[in-house]
Amino acid sequence: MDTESHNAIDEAAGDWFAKRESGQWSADDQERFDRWLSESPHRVAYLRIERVWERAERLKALRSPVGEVPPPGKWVLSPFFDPPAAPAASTPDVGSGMPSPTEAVGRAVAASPPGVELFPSSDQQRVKSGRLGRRSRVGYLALAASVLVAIAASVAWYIHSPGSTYRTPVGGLESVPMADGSRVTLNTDSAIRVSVTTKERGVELERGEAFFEVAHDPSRPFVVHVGAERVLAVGTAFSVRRDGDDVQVIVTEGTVRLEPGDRRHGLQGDREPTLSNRSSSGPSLSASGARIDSSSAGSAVVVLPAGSIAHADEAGVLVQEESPAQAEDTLSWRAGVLVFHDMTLGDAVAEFNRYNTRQIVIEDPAVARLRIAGNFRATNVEAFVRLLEHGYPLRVEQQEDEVVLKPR
Amino acid sequence: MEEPLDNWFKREILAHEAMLLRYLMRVWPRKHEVQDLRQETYARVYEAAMTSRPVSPRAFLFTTAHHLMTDRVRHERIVSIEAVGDIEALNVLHDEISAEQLVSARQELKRLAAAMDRLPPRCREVMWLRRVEGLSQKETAERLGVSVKAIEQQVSKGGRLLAEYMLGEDVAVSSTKREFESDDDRGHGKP
Repeated sequence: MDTESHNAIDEAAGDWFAKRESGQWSADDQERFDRWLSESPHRVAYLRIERVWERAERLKALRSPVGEVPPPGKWVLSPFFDPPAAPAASTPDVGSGMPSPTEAVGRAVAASPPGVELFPSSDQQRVKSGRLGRRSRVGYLALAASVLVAIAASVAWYIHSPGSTYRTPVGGLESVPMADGSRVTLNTDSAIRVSVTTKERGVELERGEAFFEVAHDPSRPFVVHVGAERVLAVGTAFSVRRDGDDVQVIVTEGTVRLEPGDRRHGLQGDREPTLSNRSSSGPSLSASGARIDSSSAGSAVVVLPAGSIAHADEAGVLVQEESPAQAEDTLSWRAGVLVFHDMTLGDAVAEFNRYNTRQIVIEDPAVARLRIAGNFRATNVEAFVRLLEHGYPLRVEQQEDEVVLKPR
Repeated sequence: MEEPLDNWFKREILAHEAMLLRYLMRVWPRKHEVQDLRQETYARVYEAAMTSRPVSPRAFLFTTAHHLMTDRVRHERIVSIEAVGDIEALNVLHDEISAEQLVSARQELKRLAAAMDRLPPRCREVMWLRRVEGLSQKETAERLGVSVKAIEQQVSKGGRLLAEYMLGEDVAVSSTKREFESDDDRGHGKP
């Protein structure tokens, strides 16, 4: 491995690029630049920036005639275009909590990655057909841009509508951008309902597991509701997994508060859990494996720092403190991979079975007690059992709809 | 011969960055190392191409990444032995990789605009004036009432961020993003 990190190289490449573009460039600069560029890691870093700069020239198609810098998301609203058609026909009654259409467009454009289909297809078609008549006057790129605005508007509408639901099938993995810049990644067989108001960014985890990367917004707490009892608030990056009434929370960045919920308020509730004023009242957790008994503590709030893995069930909350890196490992599913550290085969197989309809079955308890470590692609059952067969005293019996592991 | 090689590299190799990152994220357990792997892979590909250019650039890129990871696993013994086996078993990934989509002009524009909007506000303003309005560095500085040096710094940062947003698309590789969270001119941080 080179000693120079990609960060240092990328920064140097950016500096060289800016210097070269600055219009002040001496023969001496050129000489030093050539020397710097002679190392391949430097050169490829520079080429990346140059490549993107070249491509960015296309943005001239969206240039405003008055030479102003358009605010984010509004660059398309030049005199060439009408304001985006609000999806009036399908806009639900959302009350005053809704952002204005232009605000929504701005945020949605900023937040929506390419290739994620968030809008109902009927909306998209309607938008397109409404735009075709303008083609001759505004030209192809203008048409493209206006379709973009309209699509963004429908994305914004969809994200903001009460109770937008997202689901993944068994083996599915999907990343969903929210209009506020947050992002939710859904694991296998999971479902969430998103409800964003002016007071709260609420997500209800109906089943499965999701990882949340929360955009900073002190005025609207980010709250994940799980089941009938618990509300989880705040933090910058954390996951929540639900198994019936059991809840697991893993924090990788920032702080998360785990508090007993009150279902009567529901997603639209006016209760506002805040980060600052109540976190100090929560029990401080320094010991590994501390158990907080919710029955004695009533409405005890548990504050989880980065690296925490918390399990909450009827009996209370069990908190383990790991390093953030270990917590990240537990979340390797986001890359489609399962990472096991000295786990029993029984537990490992249970994990695997979440991701596949073709289930692995262990009948012999001795087999379930074997220990396993490694990295495995979550949906590749065949590779997993093949490796087991190689490395363990097991034989694999393929049956019609399941794979049985037997002692050899 | 040098200049054409650079162009070749930009067109044939950098076009696959998002897919490369996804691949690395999937098979490599330590996510904070993914950008370094990406960079080392590029450097290896570039060096090999100086001697002779591969017939299939994309396949060569992924094979290079694969070899790099295998080398590291063997050399550093950082993951248990099963990982090697699994990486071998995961050669099927190459099938998935071949399903690359062509980016239409509309998607390209959309992606560019979205990438621009993710820049910190001041940085975005500078990049816009320089690249889209075509103002010189001096004109940009006068327009915004800041020093020429400040513009140069914003262009440096803007170029770097746009490369990450555009080439890497939205592949969540966390190690580089935290660095920008502290930007005081950033409206609201995206993790």
